[in-house]
Amino acid sequence: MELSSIITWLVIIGAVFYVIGIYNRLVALKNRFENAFAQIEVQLKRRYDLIPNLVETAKGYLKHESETLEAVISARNAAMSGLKSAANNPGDSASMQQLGSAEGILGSAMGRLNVVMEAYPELKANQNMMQVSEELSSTENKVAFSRQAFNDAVTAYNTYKQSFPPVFFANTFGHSNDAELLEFADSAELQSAPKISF
Amino acid sequence: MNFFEHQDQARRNTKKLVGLFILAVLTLITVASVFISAVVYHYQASKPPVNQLQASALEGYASLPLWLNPEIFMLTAACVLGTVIVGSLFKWMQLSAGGQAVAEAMGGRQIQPNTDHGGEQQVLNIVEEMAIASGLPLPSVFILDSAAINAFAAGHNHHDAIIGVTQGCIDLLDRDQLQGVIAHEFSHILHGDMSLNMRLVGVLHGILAISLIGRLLLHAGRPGYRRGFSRRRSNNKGSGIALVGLGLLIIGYIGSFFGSLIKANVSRQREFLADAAAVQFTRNPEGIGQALQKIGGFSHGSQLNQANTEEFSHLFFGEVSRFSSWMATHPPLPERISRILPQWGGQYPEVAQPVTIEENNSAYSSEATSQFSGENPAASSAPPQPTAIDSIGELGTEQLQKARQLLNDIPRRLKQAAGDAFSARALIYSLLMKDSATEVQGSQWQQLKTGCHPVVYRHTEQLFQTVQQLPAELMLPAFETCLASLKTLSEPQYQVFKKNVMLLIRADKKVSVFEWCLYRMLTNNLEAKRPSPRLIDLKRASSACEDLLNNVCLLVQGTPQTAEAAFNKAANTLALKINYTAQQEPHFQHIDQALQTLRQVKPLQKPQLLKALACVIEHDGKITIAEQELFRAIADNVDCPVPPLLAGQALC
Repeated sequence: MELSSIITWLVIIGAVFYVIGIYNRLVALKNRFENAFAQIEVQLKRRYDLIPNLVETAKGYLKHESETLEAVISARNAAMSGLKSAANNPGDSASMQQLGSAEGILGSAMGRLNVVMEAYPELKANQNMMQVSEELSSTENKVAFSRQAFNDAVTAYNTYKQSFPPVFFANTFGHSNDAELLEFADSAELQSAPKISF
Repeated sequence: MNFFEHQDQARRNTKKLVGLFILAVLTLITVASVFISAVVYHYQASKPPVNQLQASALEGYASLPLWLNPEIFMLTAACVLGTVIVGSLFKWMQLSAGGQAVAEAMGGRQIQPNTDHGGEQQVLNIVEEMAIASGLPLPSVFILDSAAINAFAAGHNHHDAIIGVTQGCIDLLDRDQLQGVIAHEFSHILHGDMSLNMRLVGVLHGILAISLIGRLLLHAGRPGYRRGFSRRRSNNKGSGIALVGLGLLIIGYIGSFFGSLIKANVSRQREFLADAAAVQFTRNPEGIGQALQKIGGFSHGSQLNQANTEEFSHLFFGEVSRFSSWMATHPPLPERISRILPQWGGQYPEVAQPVTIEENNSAYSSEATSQFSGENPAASSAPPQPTAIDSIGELGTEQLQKARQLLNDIPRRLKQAAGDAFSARALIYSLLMKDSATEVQGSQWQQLKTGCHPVVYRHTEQLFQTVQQLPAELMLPAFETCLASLKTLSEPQYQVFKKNVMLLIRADKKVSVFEWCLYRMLTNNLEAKRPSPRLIDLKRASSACEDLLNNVCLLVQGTPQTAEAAFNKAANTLALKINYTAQQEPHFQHIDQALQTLRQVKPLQKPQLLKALACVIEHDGKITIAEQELFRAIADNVDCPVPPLLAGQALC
């Protein structure tokens, strides 16, 4: 062994550790966005628990609108199963899109319900109703907020994965697919809100 | 021993660790060199020396036994040393992210602050109580998906500490037992074991690196291996590489054997200490005793099969793998139990795996009825009340009760808001506006309106009324309950939040004590800081002391005259040559700078510093809430967690 072989040896060791470092960083970033998804999950679950309450209260007033109510409930159930599969593999493209579209359908069903409810002032004045819808809209904001945190974490993961040396190893280490952002067709209030500044 | 002596001992243990480590590396170098020399000699004996240099080298040392070539010896030593150093540095860098990195390496899942799962909620409640009772910042809690009963604490310092528990812990232990386990982990955090353990992980990784490379070489040199660079090589050379690989693997195993010995040596005594501390903290030997008994009676015990757990085995509550007793990182279970419960008969209870994971909220009801046990009057028959400095790093029934009471007194509405990153920010904004003058409040509202999201603004409006009625004593605790959820903010979200906090603090062009405390604790907890390994003597930090005391005197004493008197008294207790300088108003930047230096003061000298500080604060004979907060925040910045002050308790 000569000096050059020591140097080669050290370079090899350095490279091995560097690659291990890439692996660990990928795992850490993946963990981080999965943990961030758990935040969304908590909020969405709360939202799905609140919707039946809302429907139950509304039922008494909206005798002739049972179609709208049923649409809300079925959209809610679909979104719930979407959440379940998304929670099992957050960042997976198919389940993120499924959840996103299910949420979109639920959002528009809720929107229709809101329009219908405009016609029933006594329902809007109902104490219980006011409470549930306040809680619901507050939960919706929290969902949007934790979704932002999740998307930030996913972006950090994707960016690292695609950056220069890691891009060669990501595939081998089982990080072949980019994680998918979670996009909803947001409710009007949040869309009209100024950008970022959350 | 008190907190400071424990910290000091942890430091000294680090020295012992380094000594053992050097010994292990030297042994490894010797073994590796002899082995490689022998292999090289073997191959060279069968063929003539390949080049001139080697030939001349062999001639030069003809008097030595031929197979022990000094040149090869040196080269091997350099390689082994290089590997160990690179391996250790690499791990060190990786772990610099703090406790969270450890939990993530083991596949931990963070418990969300607003979880709706009863068992998880209970763990969070216990951790929150203990954190407030001991004055530590709230650690994040992670769950390892394993049926075994085990727990760990990781992190470099109080601010990046995390606690991990297994799913088995949540499913199988009741509240008292869980509290015992968590108290054990808090002891590791408080007594400096945790940072020692993190160093241990880094150092041992260097030794293990050798076996890792050995395994790689063995794989590359295998005759059946027909890919890449090995294809061109002759079989003879391939088997040579395999032989070197095998040798390195064996050497690596010897290395990890040493590693286990070191781990065992450093960590076993600390486990007894942590068990004892858990009993002291909870005043309930049954809790932790029964938890240990359950490990004994449970088929999975405390054994984990997660990836990477072996590397962190000494961080855990119980033994991670079944090792022979002299390699164990933890003392034998029966011995631990009988030290806690001397009347224990040696029987383990039968613990069955729960059939289904209960999702009900029974935890809440048990919470409400759970009585604080161990309140037998004989044990606590009016001992003299310890001072705040004495109770640093200690945690007693009184502190726990105080913490529970504080948590109970925080209005439910605020607690709900604190559990969620979205509304927690609104809570903090309203805390910052609470004590402002009316016209300043106007401009603060204006700033919020432009700086933050309209929905957060509305939340702030809703919370503000409740916050306005909040007693001053509860303001910091209310803030502390927000920390867990604020940790879930993403980086861009945190930057916006921090900017808003700064704007609110600066709205009135001056900084109050509460605002400073809040800002310091916020940044200390949410921004990772590198630990400072260098220790300095208090005498060398005298200018920092001078700066700190000057500013604090001015803050807490109304007039320059009393400030000077208080300063001189403090200077006397410190026995340092420091001078009072008359200033117009206190500068918080100077306090910040001074604290950066004072943080590195030797553990055994920190009480002196805190006494001087207490002396200044108590000079006028009364302790206001702002002064308490200031004292606790400064102590927190020099890594001394001060429990909440009890009624009538003196500082020193």
